[in-house]
Amino acid sequence: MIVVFAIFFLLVILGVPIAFAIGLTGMYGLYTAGGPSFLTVAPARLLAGVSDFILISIPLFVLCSELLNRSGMTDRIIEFSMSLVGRYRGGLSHVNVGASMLFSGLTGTAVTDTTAIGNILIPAMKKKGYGAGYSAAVTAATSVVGPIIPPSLVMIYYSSMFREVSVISMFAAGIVPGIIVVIFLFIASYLVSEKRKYPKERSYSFKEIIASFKNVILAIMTPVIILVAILSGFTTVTEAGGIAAFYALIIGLFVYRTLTWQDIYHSLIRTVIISGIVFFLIGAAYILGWVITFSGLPGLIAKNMMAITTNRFVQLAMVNVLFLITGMFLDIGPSVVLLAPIITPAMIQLGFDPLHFAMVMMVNVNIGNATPPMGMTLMVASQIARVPYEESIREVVPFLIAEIGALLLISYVPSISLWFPRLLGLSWG
Amino acid sequence: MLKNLKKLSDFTDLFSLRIAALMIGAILSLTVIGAVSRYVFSFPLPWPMPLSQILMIWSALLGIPAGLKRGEHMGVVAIFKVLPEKAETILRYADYFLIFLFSFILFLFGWIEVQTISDTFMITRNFRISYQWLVAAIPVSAIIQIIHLLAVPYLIEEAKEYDFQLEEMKEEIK
Repeated sequence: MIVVFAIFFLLVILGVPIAFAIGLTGMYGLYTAGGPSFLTVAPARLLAGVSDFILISIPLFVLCSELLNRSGMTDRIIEFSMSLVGRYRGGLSHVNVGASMLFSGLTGTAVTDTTAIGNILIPAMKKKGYGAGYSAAVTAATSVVGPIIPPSLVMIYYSSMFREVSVISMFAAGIVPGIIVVIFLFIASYLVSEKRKYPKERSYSFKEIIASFKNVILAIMTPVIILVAILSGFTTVTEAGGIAAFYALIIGLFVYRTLTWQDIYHSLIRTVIISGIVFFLIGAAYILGWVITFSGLPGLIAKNMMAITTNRFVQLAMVNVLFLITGMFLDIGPSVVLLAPIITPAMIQLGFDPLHFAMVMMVNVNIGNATPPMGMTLMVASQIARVPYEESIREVVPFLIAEIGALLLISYVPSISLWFPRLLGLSWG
Repeated sequence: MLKNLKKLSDFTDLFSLRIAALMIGAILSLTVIGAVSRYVFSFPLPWPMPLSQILMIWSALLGIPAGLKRGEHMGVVAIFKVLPEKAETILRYADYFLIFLFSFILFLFGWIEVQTISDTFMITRNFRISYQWLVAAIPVSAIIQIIHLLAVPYLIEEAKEYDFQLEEMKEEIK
């Protein structure tokens, strides 16, 4: 297996797209395991990976977010966020955090949040005297809550890989950890803003706050509709995705009247491309996953981990460090599809709660999105801010400390993740 | 010759993307029909979800070559920035050759799977289709990928012109 992983990392370093690198490595593993005849497993596993019923919700959630983005929701969300937290020192920085939280319920992907919010807030922040590096850093760091607060694409495909956790339980489990990450980010934003004396924005009257809320209510109802429908057991995840996309279409076309037929066409095209990328990652991981399972690697890891230490605190710390290092180099999707088939079964064997561990992994690999050297949201935000990447790296440090603080809390207090699913009477494991 | 291959690649890309976009629209319609029938009329229909599943598989697999053509599959591109231009071009050719190899194996064994599979896929209790209709999406996706890869100098040109992140950002802004 060492050779298999060495080949994978070599391919990635040489610039082969990660999904292809996973697929090629899987094919190599199949070939070495049983010769050319084993290669027949590759298409069968790829198909198995992309045909899970639950995955139908992915294109529907992507379509929903594309339609909402093109309906001009971002401006309304930022305005509402401004009315709530803009009055405090470093107002625009807090608005960035708040808008990311509200936006996360609509998109479920971090890069989309960075682009949508960054394009509006970064130029405004620069104009108000916030450093370009800081503006990029806060946008990138706050976007990582996108895939933690449901609905989240990465949660959907994680649960398609493991029967131990359902999408519903993951969605329920993500809410409190997501809010905790946001609180930690607000604290970091406040401390930096106080230290640097960043400006305050004007105060909004109660009437103005209500007016901006009315402006945004239909958009932020989308995640509420999705969550209530799913968590109450009224609809399946797929149906909720369909209803949300349909709702986004209706409010974009007939209520806000900002959506054109051209927008709908482009939304559908983007949905195809994004779904193709996500599904290919899952399918390729299924090929490699077969090789990993065949080799018995998860059992070996669990055994070795027990040999190193029986202290669960240390075991979780070791895994967290591994995830953080992986997240520094790989994006969320590749990190999850690569690590989950190896580490998750091992951790379940060691007695960790599958849902709690899933949330630790979700929060951890998402932090990697804003972590150098390969922080996807940090790179995108730096490009929007037109600032050297190195400057954003320097500025993102306080936010990373805050996020790691939140991660530690979520890792070592399982009830943060498990309290809400238990309250709803959901079962897993 | 290369220009014709590029034209073929562009045509295949646009054609397959539009078909896949229609499929996404159909998935949305089927899901809404299924939900309305179940929750409004208390009459659950058996066919919307299995049909959506077939369309999902096809649209997802058609999206893979579209992502390849636009250089949107995530990857670590740092090495391209540190290499001299000639070495960068050679490495990109080598990467695309590996992707070609992957696509070819997928096409070959996917096609064998289509020929040999005898399972059926249930749409309703009385209506089943051959599983071949689902498996066929794999060799079709792989052959479209191979068509794009035949015009590889254009793929490289495009990849060089736009950094991956910048390209994705521009698409999002659009």
